[in-house]
Amino acid sequence: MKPFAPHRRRRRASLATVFAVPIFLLVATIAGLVIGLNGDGLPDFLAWALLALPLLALANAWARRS
Amino acid sequence: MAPCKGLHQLKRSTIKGWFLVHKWTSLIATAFLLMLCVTGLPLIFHDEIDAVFGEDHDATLPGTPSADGGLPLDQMLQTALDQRPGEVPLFMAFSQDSPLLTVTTGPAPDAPGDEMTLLFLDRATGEALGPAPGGGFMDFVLQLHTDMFLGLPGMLFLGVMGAMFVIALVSGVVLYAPFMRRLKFGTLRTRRSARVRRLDQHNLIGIVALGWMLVVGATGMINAFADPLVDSWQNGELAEMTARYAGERPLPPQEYGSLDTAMASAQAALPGRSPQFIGFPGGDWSTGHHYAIFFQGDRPLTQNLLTPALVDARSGELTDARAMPALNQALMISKPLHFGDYGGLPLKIVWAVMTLLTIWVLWTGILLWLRRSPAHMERRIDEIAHGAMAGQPA
Repeated sequence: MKPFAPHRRRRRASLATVFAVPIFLLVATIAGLVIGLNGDGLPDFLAWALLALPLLALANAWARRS
Repeated sequence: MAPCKGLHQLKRSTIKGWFLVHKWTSLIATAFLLMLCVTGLPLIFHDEIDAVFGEDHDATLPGTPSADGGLPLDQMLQTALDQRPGEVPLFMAFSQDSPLLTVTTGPAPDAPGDEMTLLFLDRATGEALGPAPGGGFMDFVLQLHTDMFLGLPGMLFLGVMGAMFVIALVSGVVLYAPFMRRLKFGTLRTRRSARVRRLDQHNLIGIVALGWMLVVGATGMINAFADPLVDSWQNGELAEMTARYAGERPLPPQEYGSLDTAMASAQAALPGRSPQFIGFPGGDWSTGHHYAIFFQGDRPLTQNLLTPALVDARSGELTDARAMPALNQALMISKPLHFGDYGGLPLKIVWAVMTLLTIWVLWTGILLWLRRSPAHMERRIDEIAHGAMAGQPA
């Protein structure tokens, strides 16, 4: 038997859960921006990789849209 | 359950407060932020655009970078002044990449920006490359982006809009927390109303681009206050460094001494540093009696941190060399973080994509506000307070 509608509501997640991915992306972005300032070559590659993460997260969410 | 209810209501009123902050800071700033995004897009690629129109001397001149050496500076300055009879030198700027040397002249030592002429020279051959083409499309875009053709008041106004943007971002994050409590990260509900679709896009793109928007917003705000910061350095530390000249009359241009001697004194005080530009006496970046020679830091991270050496413009003797104050240093560090010009083409593409995402966040925000219905606000706050739901109509 299917549960009633109220039971289908997702449980309230904790703040830590809500912000887990956003904080990871925020840290990756700021680290990428600052590391890129440290010169050409490796720092630039690191910056590109870190800054690609928020864009990949967005692309992933878009691919899974309901 | 009275205490619990009280707590719930308090929370709801707090959320309402943040909602109003988010709504009003966004409403005030959105039109200007959209303008900044649209003008910022071509500015990201200004090097590439200049190269297409053949204005990128830095990429085409072969030889030793003008910051490292070449023909004597006095000779280069004379070549420049010969092109602008009756004018005085205001700035000389060096390139770290090519023999390109620029000299800015004007009718008087304290000439305003719109009376200045920027001249291009080749320090390897001594050849004059003519004045910088002014008034082009990119100049127009840059001016619009910096001060909307309103000078300092325009700059400060856009700085305040930048502050609004940062407050809107912070309040948006505060609202994101309760709203997302029942939704998974990345939820995009597309089969509901247009409002839910836009709201999910607004929230997701906003949180994904948050870091970039915060950094570019905050550094843009700092840049907007650049002129007052330079003034405060000039009136404070620079005046202190050159206190013993305070009572003297400004040095007239015909009494300016050798630039090469001045450069040698400055480089003896700051060995191994590369010069970025020289501020001539009487301008915003010097005193009435000094060549202010600004040197770059010796590491990539400190490249934008300038250390000025003040050299007596008549005698060529060093007066003092001291790093700039912390606030001015923050300003200099913040410049590349705003322009995104320090990590090659991929970084510029990131900048462009993030700008487009910002435009989308602003646009969905406007639509959410325009398409609101009566009593919308109480419903919206309930929705945020209780958390949006995956399985219920919104």
